Parts: sequence; C-alpha cells; structure tokens
Amino acid sequence: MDDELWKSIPPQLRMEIEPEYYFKIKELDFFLRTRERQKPRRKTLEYLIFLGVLYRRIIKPIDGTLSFSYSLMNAGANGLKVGKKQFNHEKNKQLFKTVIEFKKILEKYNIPAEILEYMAIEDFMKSIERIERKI
Amino acid sequence: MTEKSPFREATDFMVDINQYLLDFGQVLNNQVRRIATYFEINCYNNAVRFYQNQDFEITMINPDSGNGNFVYQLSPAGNPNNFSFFLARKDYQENGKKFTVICSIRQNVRVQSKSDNNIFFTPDIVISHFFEDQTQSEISSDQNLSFYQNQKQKFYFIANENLITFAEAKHYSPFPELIGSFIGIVHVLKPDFLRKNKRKKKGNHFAPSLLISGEGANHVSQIKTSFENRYAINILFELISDGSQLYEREKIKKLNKF
Repeated sequence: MDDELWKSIPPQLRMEIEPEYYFKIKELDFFLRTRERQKPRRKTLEYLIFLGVLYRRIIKPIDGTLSFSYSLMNAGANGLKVGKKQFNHEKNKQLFKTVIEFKKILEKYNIPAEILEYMAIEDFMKSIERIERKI
Repeated sequence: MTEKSPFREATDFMVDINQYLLDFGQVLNNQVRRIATYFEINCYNNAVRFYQNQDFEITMINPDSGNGNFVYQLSPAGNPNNFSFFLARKDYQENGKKFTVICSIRQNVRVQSKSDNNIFFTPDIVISHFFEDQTQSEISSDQNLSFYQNQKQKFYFIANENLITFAEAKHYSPFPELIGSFIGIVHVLKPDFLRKNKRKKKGNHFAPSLLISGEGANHVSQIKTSFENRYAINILFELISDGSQLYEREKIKKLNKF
C-alpha cells in the first residue's frame, strides 16, 4: 500500500494493523514467487490483505459487540452498558455506520467476509481464485 | 449489470478504501483501546450462545431498572448483584430420571479457590449454580479477609462449590506462557479438570476454556493439542475470526464438556 495512505491512517489504528499487515505481505511475497499470473495483481492483493487485517482486528470485534447489543434489545433490554459507555442505535449511530459502510465495500466488490478470515495466505489465495471464477 | 471485482475495478476499489479510511479512520482509531473489551464481550455472548445451542432456555436477569440496559461487569470491583447476567435453564432426562440444571452466566466475578478459602481469581466468564428458590445466593460476601480489612466496600465472590465452569478471554496472540498460566488458574479453581480421565465430549457445560483472539503458530498449536489431550480443558485460538468455535452445534461436538 502507498506510504501516503499509511500516513493518512490515525496512529493508534495504524499501530494495531501494521505489524500483522507486513507479516502477511511477507507471506504473500513468498507465495507469489511461483505464481506468475498473480504478480501483476500484487497491489490489489495488498489492499485485500489490509482489508482483512482491518476486518479481523477492528471491525469484527466492534460488529460483534453491536450485534450483542441488538440481541439484547430483542431480549427486551434497551441496549448494552459497559462501564460508562452505552451501546444502542441512538448512542452509536456513527459506530453502526462505520461497520455498515465497511460491509458496503465488501458487497460492492463481491468480497465475502469469510475470505478475510483466513489463517494461512494459501487459504486466502485459494478463496481469491475461487471468487474470481464466480465473477 | 456486471458485478464488480476488486481486480477488474482495481482503481475504484483502492479509491473506495482510501475514502473509507478518510471518512471513518478517526472513528476506528477511537475504538482501538476498547478492542480487548469488545473481544471479551464477544466471548461472553458466544458462551451464552453455547448454552442456547445446548438447548438451555436463556433469560436475561437484572437489567438496569432506570434505562433497561444490560449492565456488563467489567471488573470484580463492584457488587455483582448490581450487574446484569443471563440465566440458563434446562430440563432433561438421563437413564429415565428427570434433571433440571439452572446456572448463571456472569462476567468478571471473583471465584474462591478450591484449596484455600482466602485465595480468589477472577475469570472473565463464570458459570455458577443458581438457586431458583432464593434460599441462598451464589454470590457470597466477606469483610473479614485479612488482606481486605478496613475496606468500605464488601468483598464479593462465588464460593468454589458453586462454580460450575469458567472461561478466560485473552485478546493476544497465543504464546506458551499464556497457556501455562491458564493451567495455573484451572489448578486453583477446578483442579479435578487436570485429570485425563475427566476428558469427555458429552455434557451440558464446556470444560474450563481459554479463549484467545490470535492465531497459533506451530509450537503453541502443539502445546494446545498436548494439553487438551492431557487435561479436560479447551484452548481455542483465532476466536476473533471464528467465534463460532464456542457455540456452533457442529463445532461444540469437538469441545471437552461435562
């Protein structure tokens, strides 16, 4: 990913994502040594890896907490209170929107969230090749 | 209309991600220090779903009387009676006899040691016996503990005989000493589970479990396998990606239970 983009990411978020991102990029480069066809796509793959790290480390725990607050509301509560922070539709519009907009990008480009949940880069690349065949 | 692809429409894809980060990067940045808490809440929710999928009836207890919120207990400092929790109840038959199990699923409550009444640990998720007839409470309090004297607040805990099982949630990448320290907690709270013959895949409850967000490299995976074969415990990795390991019906068949 471009340095300019990294610079635009606020510091704590960057610190949370960067180590795993570069670790995965190293694995990707190792994988691409024998995959000539994928080499020209490296930049898009970088973005997908970035998206995956962001999803797993940040978006998913937030989404899970918001989903929990939803299920609590279905069970009759007004929401979830953790310390001084409350989670419900009214209090967390911005947070809900942040998760929804992320999911919209996945939807727009036909990226199933499951492919971002890989452990090994080989599994990730297999999923990528599978969705490419579908689109 | 042709469906979009991140490869075919690569430029648009990158522009959209850049724009997303410009629009929401700061919102996400403000959440980073809360991610460990969110992970713990997710694990708690997954523990509740485990009981749902084990055919327990789940009831929310003690929501805030003022605003109706579920009040999550983040630390053992407060009175557990002021926080919300879930009650799990199941009526079942075994060998022609009828049984009822009722347990509370709480967060961050101190639990008394099995071997020393003056030692307490606080697992993130605590499953304990619940006394429906209210003749007794699973929550005890004591102000006479030597290390706690002169404190204004009461010291609340769950007596060891009321503890059913527990889980510890860790938002880390797994490492050997982390897993080792969990064995220490099991040794203090549920030492019986460190016996191989206690291992089984059937039962209403999950065995004491360590729930780790990060993925396990080869060596820690080896430790996980070794410990799960020797002890009646569960060590789950990658829960941030796959929380369903603790609750999906097919996956919980693999868990150590009792």
